[in-house]
Amino acid sequence: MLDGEEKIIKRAVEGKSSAFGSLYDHYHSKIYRFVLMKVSRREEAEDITHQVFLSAWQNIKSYKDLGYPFSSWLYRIARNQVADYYRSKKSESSLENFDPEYFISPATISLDLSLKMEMEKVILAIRKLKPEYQDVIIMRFVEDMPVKETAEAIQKSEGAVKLLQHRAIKELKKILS
Amino acid sequence: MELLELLKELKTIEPDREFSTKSRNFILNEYRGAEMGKLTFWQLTARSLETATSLALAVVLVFMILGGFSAWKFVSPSKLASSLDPASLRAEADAIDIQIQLTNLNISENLSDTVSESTKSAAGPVAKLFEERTSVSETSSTDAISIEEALQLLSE
Repeated sequence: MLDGEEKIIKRAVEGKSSAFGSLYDHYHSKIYRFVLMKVSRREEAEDITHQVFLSAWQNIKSYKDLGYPFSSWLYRIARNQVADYYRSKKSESSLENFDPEYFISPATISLDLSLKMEMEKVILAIRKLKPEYQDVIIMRFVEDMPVKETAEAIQKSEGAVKLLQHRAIKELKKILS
Repeated sequence: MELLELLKELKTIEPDREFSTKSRNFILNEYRGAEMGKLTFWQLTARSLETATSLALAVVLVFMILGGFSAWKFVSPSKLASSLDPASLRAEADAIDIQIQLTNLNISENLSDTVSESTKSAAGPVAKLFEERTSVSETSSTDAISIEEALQLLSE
């Protein structure tokens, strides 16, 4: 969570673009990773991430602080955008169209090759999971989000999140083996 | 490597910086345009009035500045100096001196009257004597009575 997030959100809701810029800087990478692990190409992940933040900024006045981090709201928008993407591009979303080179951004090029290959394998395995398993794996284990925040983002109870994460890890291990 | 550790490594994935910057700038600029589209009629009217008032004030200011420059032709010191006639000015100055002298003269006359009246009233018996003397001898003048005589009469 961003330092002084409540005040920044308040200013963003009032229409201060600099405040929304701070939120963008803090959450952009998280949302990008979330989207990238769900779609096949980097360019598409960039387009969807852009749409997420554009939509958030255009609808910032409808945001209500219910005690959860702003990220939960952003993840909800991202989930909807990804769902829309798959609805509109159903025929192109098969794994055959997947290009592994686009999965990893230039920032990860310097990583060890074997680690990079393992990461690509994990990302491919994640993509084979059900959408709600994907959400829980990314939020809980990649982004280290608390159960409460994850529950708010995927609109499930905390108990359901714990159950989902258990099943998702089990399923992921099964795919990888 | 353990699965959970591998999942943590995925956090190293970052978006392209150029894309992030472009997207950020576009979103923040786009919103301003969208906001204008969402304004109500009265908000739009108020904003238009603000702009119109500013423009009108600017025009008035420019007009006043230009008007000031054009009026300068008639009120500039060089123009005023050239329009003045030294001879008429001197005549005016002389007239003022005369008026002052006449005024002084009037004041002097009034002063001498006041002094003579006050002397008469203050003198009392001396004045009476003076009147008697003047009635007895019409030919004699006030200059004929000396101060010593007057004092002597008073002591009697």
